[in-house]
Amino acid sequence: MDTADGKRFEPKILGFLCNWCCYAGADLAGVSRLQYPPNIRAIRVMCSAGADPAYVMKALLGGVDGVFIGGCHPGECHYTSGNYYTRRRVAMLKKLMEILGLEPERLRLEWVSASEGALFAEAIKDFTEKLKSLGPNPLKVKKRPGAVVGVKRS
Amino acid sequence: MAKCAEVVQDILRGMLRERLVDEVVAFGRGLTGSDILPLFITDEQDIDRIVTTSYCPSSLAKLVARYGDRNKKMAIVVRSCDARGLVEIAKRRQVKPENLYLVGIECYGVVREKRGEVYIFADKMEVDGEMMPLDEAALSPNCRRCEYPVPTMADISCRIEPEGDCLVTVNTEKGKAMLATASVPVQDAPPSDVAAIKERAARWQEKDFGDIKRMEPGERLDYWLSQFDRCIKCYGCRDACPICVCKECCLEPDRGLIKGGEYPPETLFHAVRLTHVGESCVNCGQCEAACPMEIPVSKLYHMLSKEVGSIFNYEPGLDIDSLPPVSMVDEEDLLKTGVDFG
Amino acid sequence: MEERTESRVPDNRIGDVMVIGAGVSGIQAALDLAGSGFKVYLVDKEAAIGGKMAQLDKTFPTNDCSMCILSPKFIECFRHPNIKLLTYHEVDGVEGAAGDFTVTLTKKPRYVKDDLCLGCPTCVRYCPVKIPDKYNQNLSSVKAIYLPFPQAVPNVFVIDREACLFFQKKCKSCVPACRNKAIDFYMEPEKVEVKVGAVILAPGYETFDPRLRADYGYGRMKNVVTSLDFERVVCASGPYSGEILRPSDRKHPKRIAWLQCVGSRQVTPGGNSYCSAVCCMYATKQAILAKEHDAGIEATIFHNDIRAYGKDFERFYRRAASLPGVRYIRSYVTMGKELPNGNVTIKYSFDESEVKEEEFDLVVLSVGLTPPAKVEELAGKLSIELNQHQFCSTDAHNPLKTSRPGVFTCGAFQRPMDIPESVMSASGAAALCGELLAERRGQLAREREYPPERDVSGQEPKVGVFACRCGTNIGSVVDVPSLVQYASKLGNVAHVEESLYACSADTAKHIAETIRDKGINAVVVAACTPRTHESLFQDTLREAGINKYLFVMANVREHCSWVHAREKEMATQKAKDIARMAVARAAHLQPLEELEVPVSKRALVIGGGLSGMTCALSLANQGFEVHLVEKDSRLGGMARKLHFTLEGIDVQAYLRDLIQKVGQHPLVRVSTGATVIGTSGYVGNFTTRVMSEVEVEEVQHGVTIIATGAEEYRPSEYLYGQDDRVLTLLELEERIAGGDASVAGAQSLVMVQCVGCRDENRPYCSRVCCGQAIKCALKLKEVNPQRDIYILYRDMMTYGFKEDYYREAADREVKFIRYEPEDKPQVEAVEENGRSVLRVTVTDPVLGKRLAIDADMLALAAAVVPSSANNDISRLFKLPLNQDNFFLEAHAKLRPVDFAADGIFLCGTAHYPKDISEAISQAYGAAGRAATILSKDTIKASGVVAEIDKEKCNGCQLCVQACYFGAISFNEQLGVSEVNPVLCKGCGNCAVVCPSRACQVEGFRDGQVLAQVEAYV
Repeated sequence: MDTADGKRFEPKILGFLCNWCCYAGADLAGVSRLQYPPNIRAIRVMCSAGADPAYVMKALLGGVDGVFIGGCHPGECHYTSGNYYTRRRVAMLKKLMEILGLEPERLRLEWVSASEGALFAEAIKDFTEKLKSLGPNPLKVKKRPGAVVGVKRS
Repeated sequence: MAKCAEVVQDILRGMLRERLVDEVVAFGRGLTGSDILPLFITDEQDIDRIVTTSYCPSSLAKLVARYGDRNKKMAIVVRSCDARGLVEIAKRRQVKPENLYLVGIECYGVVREKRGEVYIFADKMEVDGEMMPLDEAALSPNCRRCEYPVPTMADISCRIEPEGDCLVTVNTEKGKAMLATASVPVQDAPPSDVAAIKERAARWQEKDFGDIKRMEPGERLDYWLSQFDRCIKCYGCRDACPICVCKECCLEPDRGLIKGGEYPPETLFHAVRLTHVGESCVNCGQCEAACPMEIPVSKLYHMLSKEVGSIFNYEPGLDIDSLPPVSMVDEEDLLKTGVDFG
Repeated sequence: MEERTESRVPDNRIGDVMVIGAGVSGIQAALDLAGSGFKVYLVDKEAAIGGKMAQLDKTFPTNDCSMCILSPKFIECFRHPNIKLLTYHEVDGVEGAAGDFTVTLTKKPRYVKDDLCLGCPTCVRYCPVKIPDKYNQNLSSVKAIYLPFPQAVPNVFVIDREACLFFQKKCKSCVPACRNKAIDFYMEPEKVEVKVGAVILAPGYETFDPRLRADYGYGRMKNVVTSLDFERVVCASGPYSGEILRPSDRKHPKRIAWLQCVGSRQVTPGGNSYCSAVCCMYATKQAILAKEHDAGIEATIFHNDIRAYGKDFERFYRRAASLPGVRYIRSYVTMGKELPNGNVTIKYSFDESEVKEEEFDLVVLSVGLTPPAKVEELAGKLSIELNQHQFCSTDAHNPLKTSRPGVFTCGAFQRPMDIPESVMSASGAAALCGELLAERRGQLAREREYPPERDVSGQEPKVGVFACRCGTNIGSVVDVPSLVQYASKLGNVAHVEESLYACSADTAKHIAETIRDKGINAVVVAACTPRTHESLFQDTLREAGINKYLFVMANVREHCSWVHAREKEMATQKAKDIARMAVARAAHLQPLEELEVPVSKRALVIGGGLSGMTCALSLANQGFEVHLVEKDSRLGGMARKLHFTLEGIDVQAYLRDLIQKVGQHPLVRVSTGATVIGTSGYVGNFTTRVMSEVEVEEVQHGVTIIATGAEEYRPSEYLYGQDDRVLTLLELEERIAGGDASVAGAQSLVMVQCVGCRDENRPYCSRVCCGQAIKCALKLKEVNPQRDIYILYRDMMTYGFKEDYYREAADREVKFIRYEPEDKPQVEAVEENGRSVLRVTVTDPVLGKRLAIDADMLALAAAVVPSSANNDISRLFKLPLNQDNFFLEAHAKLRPVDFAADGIFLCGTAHYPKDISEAISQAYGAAGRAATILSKDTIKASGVVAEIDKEKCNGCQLCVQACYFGAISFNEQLGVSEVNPVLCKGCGNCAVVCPSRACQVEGFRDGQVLAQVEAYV
């Protein structure tokens, strides 16, 4: 899918990767030279639970095409249960997105262990493809009326 | 309709007299006699100002959380959304449930504007003493979607009959003690038939939510953006909301999430409210009532809480022992291996 | 960095302890010792540390990813100021005596200079030679210059001398590729001499080579692989990237067979007589993993007994057995033939009589564990004795001691054992070194010294950006000059420069100088992954005199240049984004403080049984005060009922000696008849109230050790309690020891195993009963070889060397009859020819008919059940219990004696049933772990901890329940929640549940993360 200005549409993905599993899996993808599309920018968090809904929504409402959250497999959380919280939050966020009219597919949660470099590369590839077929985040192109800046009372 | 107010007043007067509670919170007549306000009553003499009309200008749950002294024993005249709000507030430790004595009133809807003395019943309404068929359009929109007419989570629940009778059901041990001092004889009410109300709720939920759901995603987004664009960031929705019990709200301009001095605020303002309320909205409708720009926020929050509740099998405000579903995990989580909950 | 193979530990060739073998047990021993004030030399003959565990895909019974849990320990070893790594070193000899050893070693030539190689793989591309990849069990290939495995520590390449063309044809292709000039073909072996006070031997094991037995077809039939081969096959980083393929045609096998006991439990030539202890469970794990990869796979496990004797093993086995398409077949098997399509047939007995031949797509040989290679040579060099199986010969009373004083052993060199046992024994060996070298603790160990920290508070951010080319690793893909130019225009950036290798010693020095000279107060290094290099650069910051938390790593190698090699323009754009996000974050960073709290140097040990006393005594011998609390009026616990062991220990004599030593030790205080009634505090600073008959005492202590033991199940089955000829095994043992006449006179004696466990109520194996039954049987046969002894069992759990005694018992005509749980033996008291007997009827699985045995006595292997005190202790100390009510350790594999709560440890049967030598090993293990805290004057908490703003907190307490570590408590007085930074692990879950955003994690504050988000949006 191409954008209006004639350039090929390259989705912007923001990643929240858990330090212990998914970030390490992404590292292994690197060490193993597994090629995947250059569309993700990762923020390292100590636990996938650190992917605060406010951060996720900030990114999505700001026009990022997709948000990727990578955590440890169930039962493998470095902090025992953070990933279970993440799973619940993501379930809620997807509903929230759906209601607002943002495709829930723009938010993806994956379990990637430190040894699953290939899985990470595959997940990013797949997510990028999916976002390409979805097209740009509508909020990126939407023109909002300019915010009125209030006069500060001194 | 005075008869039913008398029964409720009698129960409350007894509780205050016997020092079962330190304070009574209810809607009642203000000093002019025609205005209706939330009252915090400590003097027995003021009890007869309490009314049971269907005009409810604010959330008593929120008022109790914000202004009540949580160490005082309080009797509160609640409708089910108030009671459910208090349950959610109790989960957030802003009230002590052991100090609350909930006098529930069955509620088939409230009106937001005071145009005469209005009582709403399951299928009729009384306006200034005149009985007429129920006009659903007159109800607050959230009430039309409400499927909880009976405050089962209150200690006692009072049913006001169109004829003026007041039938009382005891729900808890505490409720028994509350009735012990009442001088008016109370009858045990037969179970309420809530099927009709559930049907009405289903119909209106289908309409309100269905209208949104049937839109194409892009259309839906445009719809909400056009609504949010009217927002003047008055914080009225937040201030009215019983779930928002923070001492200092993170949406305030100096907190880093939302830029100050700008309106309409960025959409994140509404998204953050949604993430906070989405797991616990009790559909009291106060947010929407408070919104000067008439943004249908109650519809939005209620819709999300219904969706979220269906995933986690959670209904806000019913069970004090189950924590907000996005702020907890339980044993069953451990058995699920997928990325999707459920 | 000055050196690449070791952290900057002063290498004056003098240390406290040398650990030989850097597998999981060696690593654990080294970390425990280094963490308790000793300087350690950690030696491995391989080019990288990690041992066998690094090759495993997942670990049973939790299916945790092996590398995920192990590789952080590599880095910990590498970065530890008190560990000197000597990889690619062989030990030549150990001279001297305990306290004063001289170890001579040979440093083998890598042909790559470890001080110059930066671990970049540029050289690999130029090497023309491919060799089989040992790490992947030769199922894939690497070049002749290679890294042992991707996560290898040290991250230094090595050249295979045999394959490298330089040594044949003077090929030098790789030399110019290395910009750092690290390749040196003229390296020679080097002699090294190190003085240490003690030695820990942890050389691990080898897997049985099935080529030694031609009948398995391994090496001949392509689709016959070993379990270790299969481990690599199933691993995501393995030869087939985690796809289950078979070697012959790289097709997905549908029917996979596992053959158990390959090289184990065999008395035929080529095999080993002992049980390898781990194969039943790893085969079960592999079957589950295979099914997870491809649900269509049919997994068949041909086994003898299923030895699921460890914690949560039985559940794991049941889970596997209940999966559709998984079959466990109890049968001896012989290999059939290889078919033209590559399939292999297996013949097995079917219905006990018929022989069936079945075809499989892939056959996995569950190979056993054997002693390490060249073990006799090793034993000779160290002057230690080996046992009959060529494993380490250990002290009968202490499995951690070798025959040579001052030389200890841990891990699978003792006997075949699984990972948690290896880890326990490693911590235990560390404790023994601590006892031997108590006097010199802290003398050689160093903490690094840094200049005082510059106060940057209130300053405008001045970010310094250092972009690394990493040779060609980043530079050949990302346009680094353009990145530098871009970064220089970003807000708050005060300085930008590029370097060839940011991690090289001279660059690090230069970065430190630049930080000082330019007054930089936040640093971004755009290079590789923070997971390996963050601590290194943080060190540079400290040397430059600024707080180490003012640092951000922009990962433009693993996350960019290496994975977008073909899209240079996009990769450069991505690198710019990553750098912009990093700079935005850096500008929002604040210096963080690492809270230091003093440590009360006393241990509280709860439980005065064998484990509790062993642990207490070891801690006291290491120089720490101990308060030992026992609820009974006498010390000894369950061991008071034990008299002899399979291996021949006189338990009572040992116990008397131990009680005396504990009682006489000046550092041990014993409270008997005492219980704990309350406790508070946290690691380093606990206060516990102990109530005895005379008083309630408040004990201040730095660590707590739970050694509350277990109990024996009181059977209700098999006429127990109704007929006094029916005993439990413990009662039988007491009567044997007491010379009881009724036992002595019994002509026929039956033992029934698995009474009260391995059933629906207690789905676990009590582990010790099979050994106990055999030990009693042998003792009874010793007295009167003529009497009939029957052992009715389900699976004989004689794992490890216990198998020898099982065989001995069979040889002495103890009769073993297997029964099925749904067809349990029946017992009735009857009169037979005027003789009153217990008639036991059981189905003989071989003959298929009911057998009636008239016995004079019946002994029941009653389950080991958790102590009834566990619930109270669990509640008091807020410690978790597992489903069976045994205490739940922090991590089933790597933290078997720790609790998730810091400063509390676990040993003995409170953890799970175990025999005496295992309990002793774990007790030392707990002492070793506890010493890592007690040896410190203060404990430092990480700076990355949650903080709650009192002004904003409304006391909702959602955070309190969201914290698994009990780090958050509610202050009733102030009405707000508070974080104990010592307990906080910085995961941030509390921050996300906080609706007020009053709770924030340092380093991940809203402003800091949102700055990154905004910089990208």
